[in-house]
Amino acid sequence: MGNLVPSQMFDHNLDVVKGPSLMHRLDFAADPDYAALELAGDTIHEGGLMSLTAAGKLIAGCPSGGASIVQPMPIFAIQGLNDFDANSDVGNLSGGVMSGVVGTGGFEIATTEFDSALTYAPNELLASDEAGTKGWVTKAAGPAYGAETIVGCVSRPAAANADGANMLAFWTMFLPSAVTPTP
Amino acid sequence: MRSAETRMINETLVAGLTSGDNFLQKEAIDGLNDYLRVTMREDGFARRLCPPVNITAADLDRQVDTAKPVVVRDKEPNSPVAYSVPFGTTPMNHYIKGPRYRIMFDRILSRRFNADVNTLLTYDMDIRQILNDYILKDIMGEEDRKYIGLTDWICGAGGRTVAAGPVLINQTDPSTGSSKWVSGGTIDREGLANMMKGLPSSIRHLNPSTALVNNITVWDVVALGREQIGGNLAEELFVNGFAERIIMGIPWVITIKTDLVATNSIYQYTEPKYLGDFLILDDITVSTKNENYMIEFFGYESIGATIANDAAVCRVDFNYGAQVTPPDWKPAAVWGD
Repeated sequence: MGNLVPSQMFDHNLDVVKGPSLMHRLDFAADPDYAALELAGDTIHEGGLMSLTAAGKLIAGCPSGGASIVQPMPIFAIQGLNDFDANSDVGNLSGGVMSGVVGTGGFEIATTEFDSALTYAPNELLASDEAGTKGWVTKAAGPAYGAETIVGCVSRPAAANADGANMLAFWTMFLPSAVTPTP
Repeated sequence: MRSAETRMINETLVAGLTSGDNFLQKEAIDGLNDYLRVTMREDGFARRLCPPVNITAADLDRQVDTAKPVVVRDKEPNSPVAYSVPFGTTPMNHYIKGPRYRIMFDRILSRRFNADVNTLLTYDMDIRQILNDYILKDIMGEEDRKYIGLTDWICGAGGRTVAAGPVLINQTDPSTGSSKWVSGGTIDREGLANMMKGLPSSIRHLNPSTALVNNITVWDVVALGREQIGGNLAEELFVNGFAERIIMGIPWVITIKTDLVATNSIYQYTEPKYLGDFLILDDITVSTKNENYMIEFFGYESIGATIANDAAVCRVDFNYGAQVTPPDWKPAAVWGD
């Protein structure tokens, strides 16, 4: 709270490269879980991977379901947590809601929010970087329907865009992790 | 049976909305827009507490780190106190510096309504009214929900962070020197007079200019007798009920939104020039599209509003528990204790 410091315009980006027409694309808006984000020391940047909590609020990352049949849906942020239309300075009416494109929609997206230390090739599956930076995507450690939720499939290797930002392009998808039967 | 007039209105609207003729389509859309604007200003209580001002792109202030629209406004500067000195003494310097604040914008959307045009023709009632009601309720409710939420936040309801504490009722805000949310007392002459002390009790000495109350609580005022409010008013309220009127020098805005303004609670707001802003970047617009026999439309607006002065609002919860003594606007307990 207080006065916000937004991300610089070209540091964190989401480009919806291909997909349905803008006015009918599958996006989703919900309140961020400020308390959980603050507690975990997480933030959400534009292009970052988000998912819903059981309370219907957005958090950074997309944890795998594990023993539960609850499988978080990947959502890619259209705004950053502290962008002026998603949050606001004290005393302002605006903000309090974030939105993102839903990972199960037919999108090819490019994002700055990925583990750039790795090299990506087309057709490689992507998962949430839960062990690293929440909100980044990274290479999946195993096959689909394994230990991780698959959130995308690489379409183009990472490359600098026209603004000099390194972006990874992939088709969004949602392949939930395996559910361990409850004994 | 529906009336011939209603049938004509519905058919004309559908014909206009689905027409390829730009003039007819504009006429139909203008009909919706015109109605929306008038009713919105009458019915949204937030707009009555802080009258809206339309702005254009030329009024926006550019930011280097974001393309999101922002308006920057100056805030009244503080001035150090004057002091007495003996002759021959020179004044202390004070560098001139004034605070500023930003007004940020977002968008309010209605749902996108869609239908087969032929099913719209089968309604008995005026379909324009149905559609307008849906869009109005959604947009107005969201404006008011956010405005009352911000009011409560400033009055001490806590914020959106982990550090936010419980509701800070009956505690003094050190930044304003008074409590902004008190509980206690009953709705009688003494209680209402004590309510009026809320805003002037702060170190900024503002006066209330509007009270906001719901249409349940206001009947407690109607119940006040001759000994409380005088014979003529008591009789007039008993006969005619409570219309919006001036009580203790300020107009009372009465809302039916009891989910937003709690029963037994009364909010007070100071004059708009001390309160904040209500800027309209995109006035309410109904976007309409038709494709073959399907039509769809939705309403949207983009506003930026603030309560930029934290001493400009206060709230009283009457009949709080068994406490009947009017509450103290400067309680000993302080926020953060």
